[in-house]
Amino acid sequence: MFARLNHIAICTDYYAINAKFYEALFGLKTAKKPRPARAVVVSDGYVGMNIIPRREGRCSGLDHFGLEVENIEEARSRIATFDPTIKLLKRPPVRPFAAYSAHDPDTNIFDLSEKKMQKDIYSEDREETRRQFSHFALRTRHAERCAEFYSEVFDLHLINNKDDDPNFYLSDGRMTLAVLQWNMDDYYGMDPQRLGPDHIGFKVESIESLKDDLEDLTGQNPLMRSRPLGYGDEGKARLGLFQSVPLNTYHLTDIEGVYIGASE
Amino acid sequence: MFAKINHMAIISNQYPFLQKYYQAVFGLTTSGKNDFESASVVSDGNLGLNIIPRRDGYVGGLDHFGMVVDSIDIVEDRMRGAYDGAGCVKRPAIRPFAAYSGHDPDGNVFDLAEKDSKNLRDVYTEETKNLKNCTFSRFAIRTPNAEKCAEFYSEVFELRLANRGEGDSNYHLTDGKMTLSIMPWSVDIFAGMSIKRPGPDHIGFTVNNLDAFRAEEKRIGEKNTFLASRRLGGSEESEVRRTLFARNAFGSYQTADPDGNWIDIVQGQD
Repeated sequence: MFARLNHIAICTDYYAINAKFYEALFGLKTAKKPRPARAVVVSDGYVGMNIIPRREGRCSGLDHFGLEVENIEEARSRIATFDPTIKLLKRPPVRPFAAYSAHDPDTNIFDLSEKKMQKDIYSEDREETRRQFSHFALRTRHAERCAEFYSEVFDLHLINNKDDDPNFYLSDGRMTLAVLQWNMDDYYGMDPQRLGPDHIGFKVESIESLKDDLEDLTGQNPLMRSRPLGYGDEGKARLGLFQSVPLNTYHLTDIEGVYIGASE
Repeated sequence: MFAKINHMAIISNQYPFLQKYYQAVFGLTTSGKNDFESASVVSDGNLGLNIIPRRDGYVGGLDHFGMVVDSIDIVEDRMRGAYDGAGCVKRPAIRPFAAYSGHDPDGNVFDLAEKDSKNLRDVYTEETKNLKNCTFSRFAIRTPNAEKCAEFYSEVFELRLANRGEGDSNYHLTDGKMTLSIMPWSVDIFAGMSIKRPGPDHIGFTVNNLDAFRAEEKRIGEKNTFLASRRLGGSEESEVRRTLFARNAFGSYQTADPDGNWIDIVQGQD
């Protein structure tokens, strides 16, 4: 593949404890040479997730994803062909993944990198964990146009299989980028959610085992709790929208409320 | 004016705490009938700030603003056709402010209520005190199509486009009291720092005496470190962020609440 989706970033008010949650529940591993002041980076052996302290002026939550490409100049050229108004921005060298940042036609932000530019967890040989990232979902206003962008620029394969599904699913052969249609009417019974990243997905060996592990984890350490979902009218409405994405069979959150979908 | 900006919302993991910060540092007050199970609402006597607990699936931070208008039917008529990229949806009745939520052509979300509507409650209908003469003066959004969005707020809500200073690429719209600043978003603005997604950027207050305000902010933060403002600047990237904020601010002093939401402070008339 020309590109692979192997980076995710969350901004968080409690970055250290949130990283522990992902380590404990999903078995993700941290970098061999951590840089605790900047962020905690965890990995399933394929995808690295940077859990970044929320800095001033920023919002907290699922923030962006990243693509490793075979050739950044080729990616730059394809982006310019697709939409010449889209710019790439070179990033400060301290980052372990991002060499450049860019955005799709709806200004959803992603990082870009080549393998040789990566550091820390992204350059280490790592064993794959039992529970693995399966998808990154974003909700955007022009889902079809954005799906075309990711397909044409990054050669991600469209894997839609239902005509009545307004969303688009693109695969790098392993990870799926879900481009969900944002529609104001979906928010009748709840506060409108901002455009952008929506949830992450994991593939697990057994949903029942995951539920058991979550129960045990919260019992052992009450700081590592998933948020209750589906309570009250608005909670039901929020969960309903989350459940409308057909990639997940079990729905949970991390300790700050970031949506996590799981499937076997 | 046809529309008045009188509502802002922040989503927070520590919402009661943030309420205490705005009460202590800016002298904002609550109505006494606040439904604290849903959110904390504080007011400067003109504008209400809802500090909402971060619910599952949402991002934390400055979230949206709201306007009270003469007629929502007129708003919908004006949006239809000319602004197909914009839209409105009716909201559940439990909220103290919002009867409808809408979005501009770039998808920036705002709440709407009609003057004298039954949806208005709490600080939005009651007289509240302003204990420290700190008043909200600005809500700033960064968005890709700033000119188009400025035109939208001007034509649909009759917000008046204010004059810009030389070299100012932002659009400033006023309801006579509050300013809505629409600032262009482009990825290259964020050179040297993490990319901020488009959306709400910062809020602004006007204070009677900036030196007195800063002394009071410092006193409160030292007395109770949980109520201390976030420091801006420090590391190299943090300085880049601080400089970007300062470059687009109206005031001579910038700070951040304990969650990191940017606040611009303008010296008013003493």
